This record gives sequence, structure tokens and C-alpha cells, in this order.
Amino acid sequence: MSASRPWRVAVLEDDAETRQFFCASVAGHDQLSLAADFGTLGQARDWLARHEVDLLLTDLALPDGSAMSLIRALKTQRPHCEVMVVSVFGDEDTVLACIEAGAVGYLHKDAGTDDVARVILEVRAGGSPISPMIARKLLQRWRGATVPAAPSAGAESVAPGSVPESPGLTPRETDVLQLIARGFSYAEVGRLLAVGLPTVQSHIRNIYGKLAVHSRGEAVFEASRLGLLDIVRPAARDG
Amino acid sequence: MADATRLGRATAHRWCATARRWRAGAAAAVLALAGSGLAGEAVVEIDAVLAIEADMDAPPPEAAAWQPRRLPDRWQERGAPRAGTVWYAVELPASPPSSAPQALWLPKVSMHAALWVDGRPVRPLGASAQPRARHWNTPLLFELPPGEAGAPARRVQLQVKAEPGHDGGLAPLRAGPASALQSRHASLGFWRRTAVAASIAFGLSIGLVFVLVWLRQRDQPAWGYFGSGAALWSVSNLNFVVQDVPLADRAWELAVHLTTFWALLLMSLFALSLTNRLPRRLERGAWAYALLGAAGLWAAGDRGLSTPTAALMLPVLAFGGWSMATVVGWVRRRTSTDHLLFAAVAALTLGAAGHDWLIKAGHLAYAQPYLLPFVAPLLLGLLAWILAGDYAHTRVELAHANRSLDARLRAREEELQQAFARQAQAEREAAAAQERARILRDMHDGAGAHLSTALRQIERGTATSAQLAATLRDALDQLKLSIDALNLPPGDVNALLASLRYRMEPRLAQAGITLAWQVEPLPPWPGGQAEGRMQSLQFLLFEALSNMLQHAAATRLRLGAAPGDGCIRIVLADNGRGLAPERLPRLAAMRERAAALQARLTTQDAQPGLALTLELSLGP
Repeated sequence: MSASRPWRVAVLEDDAETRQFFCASVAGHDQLSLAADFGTLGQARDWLARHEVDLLLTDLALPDGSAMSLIRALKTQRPHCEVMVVSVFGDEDTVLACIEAGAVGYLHKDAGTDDVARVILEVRAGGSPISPMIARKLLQRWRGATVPAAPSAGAESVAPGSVPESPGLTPRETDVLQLIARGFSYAEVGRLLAVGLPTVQSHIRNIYGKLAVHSRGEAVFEASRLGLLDIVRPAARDG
Repeated sequence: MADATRLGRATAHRWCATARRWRAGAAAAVLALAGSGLAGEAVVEIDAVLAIEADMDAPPPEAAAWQPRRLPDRWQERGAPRAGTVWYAVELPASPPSSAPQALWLPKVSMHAALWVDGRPVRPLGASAQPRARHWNTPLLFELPPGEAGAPARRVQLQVKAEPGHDGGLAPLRAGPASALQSRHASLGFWRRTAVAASIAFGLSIGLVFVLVWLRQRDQPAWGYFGSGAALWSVSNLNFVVQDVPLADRAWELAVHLTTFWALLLMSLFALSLTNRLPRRLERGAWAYALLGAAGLWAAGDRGLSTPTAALMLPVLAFGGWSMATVVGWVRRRTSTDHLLFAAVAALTLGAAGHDWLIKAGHLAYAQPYLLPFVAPLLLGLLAWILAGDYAHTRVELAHANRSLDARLRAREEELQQAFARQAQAEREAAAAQERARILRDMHDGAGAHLSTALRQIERGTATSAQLAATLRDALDQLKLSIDALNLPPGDVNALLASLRYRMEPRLAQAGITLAWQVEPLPPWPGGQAEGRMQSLQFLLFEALSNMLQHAAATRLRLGAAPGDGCIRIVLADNGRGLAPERLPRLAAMRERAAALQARLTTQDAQPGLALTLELSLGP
């Protein structure tokens, strides 16, 4: 990816005024270029089947369905295309569902023009937005789910019903999430942990990536538990 | 016996004489046989013999005091000693050398017989030294060696020995071709030995099965008594079939009498136990009597066991009779088939027992067979059949009880599940109603109130668009905070403050206010557990921030929170206007809200700036 080339952004939003606002915010920034904009899921799906784009900014509830299926499809068919979701409230349940589907972040619907471009560029730089509520929810999800690979966390134990073979949080990632859950900003977290802002951002992106894998792992685990999958585990064989 | 020729009465008086007369008598018998034209070809019955009591190992000489004797010769009937040795002699006509091999058949002798022919011993049947072969219940067939050519007759001498307590004697003999006698011998042998052996095997099997069942289920003593009684009775019947015994005669007799005695006692205990009429004391008494009886029989020694056994048996027989009567009563309540069968078999058994007693007492023919070994298996089999039916009946009832218990359990479980489901449904509905009420209150106090204000501002046309935007912002922020509050863990003030910062920071940044975030890890706030408290605290802090944003004209804000002296202390300090009525227009309402949270709200005029301190009690 060339840093000099503007990032191509597509916008999917059914409310015309909001769509125009997002389009203007993208088009008005010299590091971003507006590739296309759509009002319905069908239009976006058709267009994305034939075109490459760096980022899709999409509303969730669209007149012809939920964007969730499109997000999942893009993660397999266009792995290089990042997805950001537009959310009115940025509440943790909605956002985490989108992250699990493969989105890398979210944008508040009432964000200002500068905020729109800033958040998109942060995503381009490898960051992902997060709220204290999301951080708390993530800590809850991983607590008792899997043991972090780092030796410093050896005292923790695997809780019953844990999800096997899904990546755990490193102690550093746990520290980051705990500080964010207590209300500290990225910059403050960086100072407290004596690391740079980009490091904090990449931690968040990594955690989101693990969440997507984690959710796939959960699905596989649940399916195998129900006998829907016959998983071959060579490591489990004796001797 | 159609071809048998009787030598008996016509020539009997001739046997009563001297040795010369003995010869004459024998010759007369030979002539009589020759006259019939059947010598060597027909079977003859011999019931007239010469006899002498002599404890000798070889035949007494002809000159000895032989006396004529009629068969059956049962020693006890003529007052002779029941134990000892008696020699019998008879002369048989010589058969032609060309005729078939001849044999002498003894249908009944008690209890040991050995044969001499023409002064030479014939191969013995079983041991003749102690312990002697016991011939009392088995027919004996002696094959006679070929006679000397030209001899007119054959001299046959029979030694019969009996131990004390045995019913010594000899039944009429048969002489004739071996082939003709063999079939009779085989037929009688089958009934006396093979059939009785089968009866023993049957009784022993049934007995062992029930003993095994009892070993696995000790709470059914009736089965144990029945099994051991049947097994012991079968063991005692070995006396009928075993001839060469491994014990001395006295030890064997003792074993036979003891097993019979114990078997009858056990069967009586079985009958009482089956009908639940066996008190503990009676059971112990029976055991004591069993041991006492054993000691008594042992002490009887050589004087013979029949009399002491009879003495011991009398109470046992009475006891047994009474217990059998209880069984009759018990069976009467069972199915009609079992009842009828039991009555028939019990009557048959009683009849057989009486018959056998008559033989022993000498009221029936000496050679008469004993019937009890053939009838008792019927009784044992029937009792086993009834017990098995009882067991099967119990199992069926148990299965039925289990089924109905299962059904009742299932029904009860279903009722419980339904009750749980109803309760869970009620709880869900109550929780949903509570949640709806909370959301409505939040909407009413928060976003709803702000939206109403915005509407009034538009209608009056007095507000600037900046004021209008501020009101709408407040409405939107309130809405977001309300949504955050849905997931706030009760009592988690850190989470509440973090959410507040996240939602309000864009407003602060927009207003050019720098935020200093000094929030330490806080303990759980107990007051926050109660319904609506977290939202109330959220409103209180939101109002303070909103006031500050609108009226303080500050450039810096410090939000601090730390655990204090029995409280959580939250401080909002800015560098704007100090305390003035327009700075905190709703201070009184805020204090009230704080009081409702059991918290203390204090203000500190800093000039410049104002510090609001809220102390949340950590007490219960």
C-alpha cells in the first residue's frame, strides 16, 4: 500500500443527507478519495463485486437488509477491504457484533466532518476506535475464556466451558483494555504504559482481530460440541 | 414268573433232618426239577433252604447243625440277633454241559452276601472286608461256574452278614439261565439304583440353586432352609445307591441318620419361615435341637442308630407336621392350580412315607421297594415351582411399582418444570416491566426533557441556533448515556465515569476545555446496587458537567475520583466562574438527588473556579 496514494472509500448509507455529509467529509480530505456511494445493500453488493476499494463505510440497517452479511462476505472475498460501521450510539453490543463479523471499527453518526476523516485515517494507520464500555465487555469475554500465552499470566486457569484453540489476550493487551475501561484515552494509556500512541492503537486492532478469530473459534467449538463437525485433531492422538 | 417252578412246600419237611437227610432232600429237589423238564432252561424260585448262624469265613461243614428255613428269612421277625452272619445252603440240579450259562439272582439281601458253589467261592460283588459292600437295596446276580461233568447236583452256599442296626435277612432266590435273569436284574437295578440316583441328582441341584440364591439374597431365609434341606435330604439318600462306601459302617450310618434328621428339621424351618411363623426363639431352639440330636446319635455308638433316631425324629415329625399344615394354609391363598397340586403331592408324600415306615416295621414284604425316593422329588420340585412363582410374582409387582413410581415421578417432574417455567416467565415479565419503567423514566428525565425544551425554544423563536444545538446535543448525549446505563454493572463507579467521559469529551473538546482525568481504581459502591441508582448518579454528574459547559466559561476541568474515608469521593473542579446563582441554577434539585443517593454534595468556591464534591457512602 502506497502512503502517497489517496485511500479509496465507498459509502453505504440510506439517509441521503447523512450520506452526503459522509461523502463530503471523505471527498474533502486530500488523503481520501470517494470511490462510490450507495443507498441500498443491493447496489453496494453489485458494485463491490466488480470494483476494488480500500474501505467501506456502511450503515447497519438498510432498506433491503442488514449490512452484516455484506461485511462477512467482504472479509472472505475482499480481505484487503476494511469495513467501518456507522452507529448512532456506538453501543458495545452492536459494535462487537460488527467486529466479530470482520469490521475494524465504527464511526458515530453525529461525528463532525474532521472526526470522520480522522477516524478513517486512524484506521488506515492501523488503529481502531474503542470505547470504555467495549473494552469492559471485551475483558468480560476473555476473562475465563482462554489463558494468555505469556508466562506472566500462568496463575490464571482455564475455566469450564472455555473455547479451545482461540487466541487469548496478552498481558499487555489486558493492561490496555483495563485502562481504557477505566476511562483513559489512547494518549494517557500510552503514557501510563510508556509506549507510543501507534503501539496502543495496534494493540486495539490486534484485539479486534482476535475477537473475529475468537468468534469463529466459538462457532467451530459450538458446532463440534453439538456433533455438527467431525474435527480431526492429530495432536490429541496417543503416542 | 410264569415259568417259575415252586419247590417250596411239597419238599420243605424233607430239609429238616440230618446231613443224610439233607442229601436226600437235595436229591428230591433235583428230581423234582428234572421231572418238570425244565432243568437248566427255566427260572426257578427258591424259598426253602437250610440255614445256620455261624460267624465263619468259609462254609460250615455238612455235619453242622443246619436247619431248614423258609424265605424270606427276616432275622428280626424270628427274634434272631439283627447283626451277625447266617449261612444258607441249597442244592441245584446240574445242567447239561451244552446248556446256557446259569446264574443265581438275589432280589433282596441285607446287607452283604458272598457265594460258594461246590465248596469254591464265586467272585465277590463288592468288598467283603470292612467296610463291606452294602447290598441292602440292590439286587445281586451271581454267574455260576460250569459244573463238573457227571455230578448230579450243585452245592450252593450263601454267606449273609449284617452290622448292628441293619435289617438283616434274605428274600427268595431265583436260579436259571443267566440271560433270562439278566433282564430282570437290569430292570430291578434300574428302579433301585439308577432312578434313585436321578432323584438324588435332581434334589441336590434344586437344593444348591436355592442355596446360591439365598447366598445372594440373605433376607429370604426360607430359600436358604429349603435349599439346604433339599440338598441334605438328597445326600442322605446316597445310602440307597452307594454300595462301596468310603467310611466305616458306623460312621456312614451316623452320616445317613444325621443328614436325614437335619433335612427334616430344615424343611420344617423352611415351611414356618415361608409362612412367616418362625419366631426367633423357635428358630434358635431348632438349631440347638439339631446339635443336641447330633451329639445323641454320636453317643449311641454301637448300640445301633435306629432307636435313638426314632426318638429324635418324633418331635421333628410333629414339628414338621405342624409346619406342613401352615404351608397348606399358605398355599390355599395362592393360585388354585398350586393349591391342588400341593395337596395332591403332599398326600402322595405322606402315603409314601407311611408305606416305607410299614416296610421298616416289617408289616410289608421284605423285598418291597421304598417309595419316598421317588415321591419326594415331586414335593421338592413343586415347592421349588411355588417359590419360583412367588419370586416371579414379587418381581412383576416390583416392576409394576417401579413403573407407577416412574410415572408419578415424571408427572411430578413435569409439574415442577411447569411451575418453574411459570415462575421464570413471571420473573422475566417482572424484569422486563422493570426495565421498561427504567427506560421510560430515563427517556422522560433525559432525552425527552431536552427535546421538549428544544421544541419550546423553536416555538418561542427566542433561542439562537447555537443554544438550540446545545439543547439537542444534550438530548443526544443523554440518550447515549441512557443506553450505556443499560449495561453498567451495578455499583461500578469506574465504568460509570468512563462512559461519562467517553460521551462528554467531544463536547468538552468543542468548548476548548482541557480535561485532567484523575480517576483511581474504585471499590464497588454498595448504594449503586439498588434499582435506578446508577442512572441517578449519571444524571447528577451529567447535569454538573452540562452546567459547567454552559455557564462556567472555564478552560480547564479536573475530574478526580478516589476512595476516601468510608466513601468514594468524586471531584469536578474547573477554573471558570465561581459560585453564583446562574452558575448552578438547579443546585437545590441536585442536592436532593444526592441525598436520595445517600451521598453528600458540597461546593467550594475557588475564585476563580468552582469545585463540586460528591461523596458516595461505602456503608451498607
